[in-house]
This record gives sequence, C-alpha cells and structure tokens, in this order.
Amino acid sequence: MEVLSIVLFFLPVFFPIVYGICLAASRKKEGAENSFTSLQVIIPGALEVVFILLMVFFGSEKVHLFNFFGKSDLWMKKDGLAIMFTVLIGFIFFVVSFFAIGYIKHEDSKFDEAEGTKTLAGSFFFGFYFIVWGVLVGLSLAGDLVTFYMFYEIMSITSVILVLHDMSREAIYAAKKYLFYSIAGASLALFGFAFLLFTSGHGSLEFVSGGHYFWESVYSSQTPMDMTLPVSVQIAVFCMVLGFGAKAGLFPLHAWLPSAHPVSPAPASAVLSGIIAKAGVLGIIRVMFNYVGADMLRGTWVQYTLIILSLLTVFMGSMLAFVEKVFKKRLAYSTVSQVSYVLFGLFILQPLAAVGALLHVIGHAVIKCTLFLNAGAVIHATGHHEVKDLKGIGRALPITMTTFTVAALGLVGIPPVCGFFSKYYICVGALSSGTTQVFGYIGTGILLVSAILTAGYLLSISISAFFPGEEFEGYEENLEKSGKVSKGMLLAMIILAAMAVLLGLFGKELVEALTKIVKDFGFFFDMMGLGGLK
Amino acid sequence: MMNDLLSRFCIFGLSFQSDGMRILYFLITTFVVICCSLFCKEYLAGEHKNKRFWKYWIITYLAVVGFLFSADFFTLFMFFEIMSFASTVWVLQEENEESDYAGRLYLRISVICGMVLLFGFFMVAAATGEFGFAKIAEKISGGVLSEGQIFAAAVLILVGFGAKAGVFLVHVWLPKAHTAAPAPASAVLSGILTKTGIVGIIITTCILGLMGNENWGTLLMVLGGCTMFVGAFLAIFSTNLKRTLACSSVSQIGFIVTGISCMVLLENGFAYTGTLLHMFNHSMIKLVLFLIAGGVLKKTGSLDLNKIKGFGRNKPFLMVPFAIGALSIAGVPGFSGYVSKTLIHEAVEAVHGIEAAHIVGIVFTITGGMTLCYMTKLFVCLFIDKGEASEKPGLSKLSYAAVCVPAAVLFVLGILPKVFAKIPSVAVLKEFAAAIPELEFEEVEEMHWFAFHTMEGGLISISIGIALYFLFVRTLLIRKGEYKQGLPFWFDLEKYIYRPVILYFLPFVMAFFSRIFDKFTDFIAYALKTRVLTPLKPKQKAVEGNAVTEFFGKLFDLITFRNWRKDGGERKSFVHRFATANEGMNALGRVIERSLSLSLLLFSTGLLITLIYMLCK
Repeated sequence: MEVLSIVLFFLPVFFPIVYGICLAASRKKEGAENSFTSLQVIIPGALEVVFILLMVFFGSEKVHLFNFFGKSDLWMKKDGLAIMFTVLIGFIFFVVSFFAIGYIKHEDSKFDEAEGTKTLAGSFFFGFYFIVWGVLVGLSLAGDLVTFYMFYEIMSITSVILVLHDMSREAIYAAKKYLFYSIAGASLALFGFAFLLFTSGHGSLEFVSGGHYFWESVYSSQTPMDMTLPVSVQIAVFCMVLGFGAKAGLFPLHAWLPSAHPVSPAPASAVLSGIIAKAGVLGIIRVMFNYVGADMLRGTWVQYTLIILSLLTVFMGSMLAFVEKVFKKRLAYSTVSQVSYVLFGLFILQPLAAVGALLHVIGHAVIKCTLFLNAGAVIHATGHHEVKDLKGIGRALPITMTTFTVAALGLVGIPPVCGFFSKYYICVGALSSGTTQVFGYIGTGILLVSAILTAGYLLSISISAFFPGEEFEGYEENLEKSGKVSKGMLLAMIILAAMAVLLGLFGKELVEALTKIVKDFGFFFDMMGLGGLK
Repeated sequence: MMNDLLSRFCIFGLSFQSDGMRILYFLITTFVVICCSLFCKEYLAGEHKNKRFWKYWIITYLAVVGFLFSADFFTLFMFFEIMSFASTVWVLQEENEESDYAGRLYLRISVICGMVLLFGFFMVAAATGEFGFAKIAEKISGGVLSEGQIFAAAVLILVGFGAKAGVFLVHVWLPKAHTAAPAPASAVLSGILTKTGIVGIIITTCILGLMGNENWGTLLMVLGGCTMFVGAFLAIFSTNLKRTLACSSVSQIGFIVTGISCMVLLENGFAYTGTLLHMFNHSMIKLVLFLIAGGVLKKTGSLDLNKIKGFGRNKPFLMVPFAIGALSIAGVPGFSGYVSKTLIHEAVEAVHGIEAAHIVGIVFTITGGMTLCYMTKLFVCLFIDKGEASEKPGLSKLSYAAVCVPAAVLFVLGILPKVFAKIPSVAVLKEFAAAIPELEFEEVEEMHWFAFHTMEGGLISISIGIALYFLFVRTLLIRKGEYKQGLPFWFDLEKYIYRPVILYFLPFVMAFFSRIFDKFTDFIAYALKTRVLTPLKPKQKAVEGNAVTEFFGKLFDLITFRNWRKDGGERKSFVHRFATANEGMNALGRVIERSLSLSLLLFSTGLLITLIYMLCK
C-alpha cells in the first residue's frame, strides 16, 4: 500500500522529467524534417495527464520522503491547493502543447543570417517543456519548505532554456536577466527561510493548515489575537514573500517578465506567464497561510507594505502595458499587473478575497495563455511583432482574433467570461475586510482603473483587427509567404477561450471547491467573511 | 429544475421578474426592433458585412430583454455590459473614419463608466452580501451602510447608467455615435438603449432607499436641467440631420431625468406617469425620425442639411409621420408629447422648497421652445425648402410602413390623452411600488387636458419656439439660403477636454512615474554591476599637471559626466586638458620670462652705453 501511494505520487513528477531528459538528449533522425514528431509530444502529454488524474483520485493524503538531517521530515502532500495546481498545470501544459507542436515545427532549427545563430532544436525545447512540467507538478505537491524550495530552484533553472530557445542576442540577454532575477528572488526566499529556521528554533518545516505559529499560540494558551509574531519572524516572512514574489512579478523584482516574454517562443511565454508566474503565488500562499498563519500577519507592517507593493504593481503594470507598442511585451506587462491582482487578494487576508485570488489564478492562467497563443499565431502567420501592424488582421485570422477578443473581455472583467467573478470576490472581500477597509477602497479603485486600462490596451487591438475599413486589403500577400496556422494551434486557442467562458458560466462548483481550500488557510477569526459568499 | 439551473448559472445565478412596466417596455422594445428590422431590408441592401450586423442586432435585443426583466443586480450588470459591447459593433459597422472615431469613443465611455458603475455595485454587494433587488432594499433600509456611503454608491452607479442614457457630462458619445451608426441602429440606440440607462437609474434610486432624499433629488434635478438645455442648444446649431436628432435625444433624456428627480422629491404617481410617458414617447418619436433620416441618407447619400434640402417634397408618406413626430416631441397640444411634457412640467412646479426646481422650471419652458425651433428647422429644410434633392426617388413600401405605423400609434395616443395617461397606472415598476407604499394616480385622472391653464405652459413654450425660429435661426443661422454651423469648431467638450486629458495627458504623466518604478531594480542592478562589483583599479598617480589642475579637472569631469564614458575617457578628460593647458601656460611664461630678461639686458646695455657716452662727453 505504501509503495503504491509512493508510485502514484512519483509518477506524475518523475515520468515527465525522465522522458524530457531522454527527448532533449535525442538526436535528429537522418532525413527527418523535424527533430521530433507530434506523437512524441502528444502521447507522453496524455499519459502525464492520466498520471495526474490517477494521483488526484487514488493518491493517499501524504507521503513521507525521508528525514532531513535529523531535523525534520520531508513530505509530499495532496491538499486542496495541490490538487488545484496540479490539475491546472496538467490542463494548461497539455493544451498548450498542441499549439507548441505547430509553432515549434515552424521555428525548428531556424537560422538567423544576421547574427549567424541557430535556434535550439525542437526536441530540446520539448524536452525541457516536459522537465518543467514534471518539476511544476512536484512543486505543487511539495509538503514542506525544503522540498518546495528544491523544486522551485530546479524550475527556475530549467525554464531558462525555454526563454533561451531563439539563441538570438536578445534571447540570451533576457535569459540572463531571468536567471538573475530568479536567483535573486530565490536567495531572498532562502535567506528568509534560514532566518526563520535559526531564529525561531522551530522544528517542523511541514506545511499545515492554519500555520505553525497560529497553533503554537493556541497551545501556549494565549488568545492568538493578542499574540504578535516576533519581529525576526516578520522580517523573515517579508523576505520570503518578496523572494517568491520575483516569480509572480511583484514590484521590486518584476523586471524579468517584460524582457523574457517577447523573446521566448509563444508557447513558452504562455506557460511562463500562465503557470510559472503562479508558482511564485503558490510559494507565497504556502508561506503565509500554511507556514505562518493568516491571523498572525493581520494588521502588521508586513501586511500593509505588501498591500502597497501589490497595488503599485497592479497600476504600474497596466499603465506600462497601455503605452507599450510591442504585442507580446504588452501582454507581459499585463501579466505583471494581473498576477498582482491575485497577490492583492491574498495580502488583504480576507477569506472572500482569497477565494477570488485562487479563482483569478485559474482564470488568468487560462486567459493569458489564450492571449499569448494568439500573439504567437499572429507572429507565426505574419511575422509582425508590433501592435500597429495588426490592422485588419481579423480578416486574415478570424478564429485567432475572435478568441483574442473573448479572452480580452475576460481579462477586462465583463461577465459572463470568468475574469469578472474573481475580480468581484477580490474587491468585495477587500471592501468588507474590517481592519484594512481603507486599503479595500483604494484597492478596488486601482483594480477598476487597471481594468479600464486593460480594455484600452486589449480591445483597441480587437477593433483595429476587425474594423480596418471597408476597402482594406493588406494581408493576402503577407500570409502566403509565412507559416499557416495549423489545426492543432487553432484547437488549442479555441479550447482555452471556450474554457474561459465555461468557467464563467458553470463555475459554481469550482467556487465551492475553492471555498473549501480557503477554509484550510486558517482564517479562524474571519470565517464569517465567507458568509457573504453567494 | 429550471430555477435550480438558473440559480447556479454564471456562478451567482440569474434571476428574473416581471411587472407592468417591464412588460410595457419589453413590448415597446420589440415593436421598435421589428420596425427597424423591416426598415433594414431596404437600408442594408448593398451594404457590406450585413451578416455581422444581424448577429449583433439579435444579441443586443436579447441583452436588452434580459436587462429589463432582471431581478438582481448581477443579472442587470451582466446584460448591461453585453448590450454595451454588442451595440459597439453597430457603431463601428460602417468602417469609415467617422464610425471608427465614434465607435472607439462609445467603447471607451462604456468601459470607463461601466467600471465606475461596478465600483458602486461592489460597495452595495460588500455591505449587503445580496444581489436581489428586494433583498438589497431590505438590507439597506436596515442600515448596513451609512447615508454618505449610500450616496457615494448611488453617484457611482449614476455615472454608469447616466453614460448610457446620455446625461450631461457623459453625454458626449451620443451625438457622434448616433450619427455614425446605420439609421435603424441609431433608432434603437436612441430609442431603447438610452432608456435602459434610465431604467437603471430608477431601479437604483428605489432599492437604495433614495426616494424622498432631497440631495439626490436636487442632484438629478440639476443634471436633468443641464442635460435638456445643452442638448437643445447643440441641436439648434447643428447642420447635420442625424446629429440634430441625436442632440435632441440628449435634450429629451434631460426631460426624463428631471421627471425622475420629481419622482424622488414628490414620491407620487404624478411624476411617475410623466416620466414613463415621456420615455414611451421618446422611444416612438425617435424611431420615426431616425428611420426617416435613414431614408434620406440612403437616397441622397448625405445628411448635410444643405444637400438634402427639399428631399421630402411630394412625399406625403414621409411628411406626415415626420410632422407627427416633430409636433409630438415639441409638445404641441393635441399630440402625445404634450401629455408627458405637461405632466413633468406640473410635477416640477409642484416641488416646493428647492431652489433648483424654480430655475429648472424656467429652463424647462425655454427648452421646450428650443425643441420646437430645431424641429421646425429640420421640417422646413426637408419638406419646404427647394433643392436638388427633391428629384430623388422615395422609399419602398415596406420602409414607408415601418415609418407610418409608429407615427399612427403616436397620433392616436395624442388625440386620446385620457387613455394615454392611464397606461402608467397599470404599468408600475415593482421596485418603485415597493419604495412608495401608497401610490395613487388620481391626480392624473383628474387632469383637464385641453383646459387653458393646462395648456398655458405649452403655449408659452410654443411662442418662444416660434420667436426663436424666426428671430434667431432664420436671421443668423441661414445665410443666402445656406444653413450655417453657428458654433465655433472648438466647442466640443469631448474632443478638446476629455480626449487630451484622458487619452494623452494622464497616461503620459502616469506612465512616466510607472517607468521610474519599472526601471528601479534594473537600475540598482546596473549600478551594482558597473560601480561596485567591478574590480577596483589600483589608484594611479597623476602623471601630469599639478594638484590644482587635477582637482579642477576631476570636478569638471564629474559635472560633465566625462568619466562615465568608457572609450577615450583618458584623452578627453578634463584632467588631461587642464594639465596640457597648464604645461602650455608654463611654457609661455618661460618664453615671456626669457624675452623679458633679454629685453632688460638689452635695455640696461643701452643705458650703459648711454652712460659711457655721457661720461665721455
């Protein structure tokens, strides 16, 4: 029984890693057009999805890995958050891989005459795609800080290859920058982690619902409302959140996003901003809710500073996206702003807002993947990178731009597309949080201004794409010389856009499930906040 | 089963209800949409992308119906947004420069004001935890929000709905969008979509417990007065047929908002009747007028008053409906507009103790005159003036039917004011009835419609209108038979104030600050890399110049950023320059020194020779 449960946990993590290493190491066959075949991607992808589902349905609650230097036990855990993230990762990676096949085949070993550089082989890209996939599943299943940190670092380093794929000068620069920021963030997190370990003398590193410090205060028979965290722990938590915030694009360490996204291939940008940015969010949730405890942080300078930083990021991201001219860079700035919606929802420490934050993790992953795939399809078909060149493209690529418009409406927050509901929960949660109600009003204002800017930078593209003027004809000759958007690519975009709408239409069950997850976050003194949940 | 499904649909669940007013407006909407669809057959023939137009036509119609029957705030908001976005496609439909400008403007206003509305919605939802209208009203009356918060939420919601209705300050999209859209779409935009905003305002007022709130009533009163005057003012000066009608829509919305303010202040059925009847009238009148304008555009290819002069001559099926519409909207006794305007006017007169009501009462009368004035201007231009356009052919029979049927309805209701004024008493909005328990309509039934004291206000308006037309329009706005644009080009709130501020100035400033934050970490990393993390060079001894030149050289280098450059820094640096200059100075000094000593030597030699000579003498 023990063995079976270990196998169930290890398969979805290590199968893609091993397979990815094999794929990356494989050589191109003589006479073959590409370095990989479609089946080499789809079959393992489907297998991985099956493994994830097996783990979700039949896996045990948690699995013991080994003892860490006699100090603490290491675990893999399957709590609600882990299930949510693994299923999301499985879905997004699987769907995006359909797109990636067509896209990467076209890019495969392209030679850039100007720089004399060759893009990396397609098999290499997919190899690392699978490795990152497996590592991310491992990251979501990690049950304690050590395991989490280990997977986090592996993920940072392996995903650099996805950015590097072009091998152009910009790509190398962006990859370096990405690595720099990732490592800066991770070391900040590690610093906080070590500081926490050695100042508080806490034995356990495990994630528990409600947080260690909360339970400690309960056991020491003080009322937790009176007990405040020691300053050293506050500093440690602050450092860890800022460090994990580097991946999530939180203000001081956000700058890698707008550099890395435009140069990486579209499917890579999609998972970078759809999933990998959320890995930072996962880290923050683990630290704040499963290690320290939400109630311990309420009303401290840590909370206020983090709220201010997240709001600053929301505004800065959408403002810069509004003035940005390169399509994918615009989407990257949009990610900066949107992921900070999630962080704002978490930092406000109110259960309803936390439900909204989790919903936005899912909604934003689906929507932003759609948008990046749309951008990729446009670049694939026309070679245009700038927004001003997109005039009339709706005539040439109707499905691409329709899915783009649906996703854009979702991101702006127009019901019934799913973006509206997460915004509703975040804002209403913030407005009804007692202690931080001032931040609630400011935050709601900034979120809505950001939504207006979102409409400004996305819907303007839709309008010029679909309404270029009656006599406009300019895309015919362009389309002939570039790649055709294949059926697999269209399928991926349609599935994701449809998902964005379906989540909005039939998301009631999802919201109920998320409410259960949030109950594990340890809002013991604010549970009535969920009473307002419709 | 069905209910259960609906309550889970869209996460929050949808809920619907119906009452007299909702059914009445549903019928009007359907009637207007059918008339316009019939008209479309001729109007859209030979145009491009018709399929797209029909698709969004149906979506918008369904959204309007959903909006009308919604029983909770979420459903209301959702259908409102769908309606806004779907109708944007109508405005963009023609795909020319004008429609692009107008469509983007419409979308911007929709999004911005929609988000402001959402803020108000969030505030209400956060405080009550409810969506249903009845439940919100219950909770609000229980006092979950302070009075200030309720007012703030109501103002935010008013901005959102007011933008759709075309209330002053956010009315700017209306003249442009209505002009740019295809005529049947303009008729629905002006006749139906603006009314959804009005319905939204009424519902908000009722459920937030603002009935009888003096501040709220005054605010609406002032806004209504401004809106009606500004609209009529712009309409008089306009030389474009559809633009005039659109400005007229703004003005009529002002009358309706004034009616709502009277509902708030008086809390009786009298003001409600006037408001509802004016909504009804305006929907039907604008249907007739915009369709006629569409016919004019289709046949003459222009909307400029100078080019369409006399189009309607010898076309009785255009002239009679237009006359009915014009007389009705101007409030001439015997036509349906007279009934609604008189009721609103009486209601304004009945308001006591509020200063603004007196002023608005006067503005009301003047604006009524202005309405007659600009409608006369249009009528004279289309049907009396002589011009090339009179040779153009008329419309098809189907289109004539689409215009004549609503005109006939208006005419019949106009001559039967007693019957007409009874409609609102059976069509009461549920929320309104809930907010005012003892609602009575007796006063309306007791009205003597054709008695002199009832007609008095209308007659004053008419005389003002006639005077305005002959003294102002005919003398100043018509020169040598040409209609002149009387307003200067910069008289455009949207183009010269909103647009530069919202689209250029604010983003520029905000993006500047955002950019600073964006580059903050990069800058630190760069500074670390170039300043701190590079290995320190051993300090070199100054090889040239002296201490003074080195000091000033470094100072100048610092000021001019000389030492930040990597290439040629050594040669171009001020240290080097000053040292060289110093060297030169020294050399020069030495030359001067030497030449001075030589000349001194020669001088003293000369002196010596002179001395010897003098001694020898």
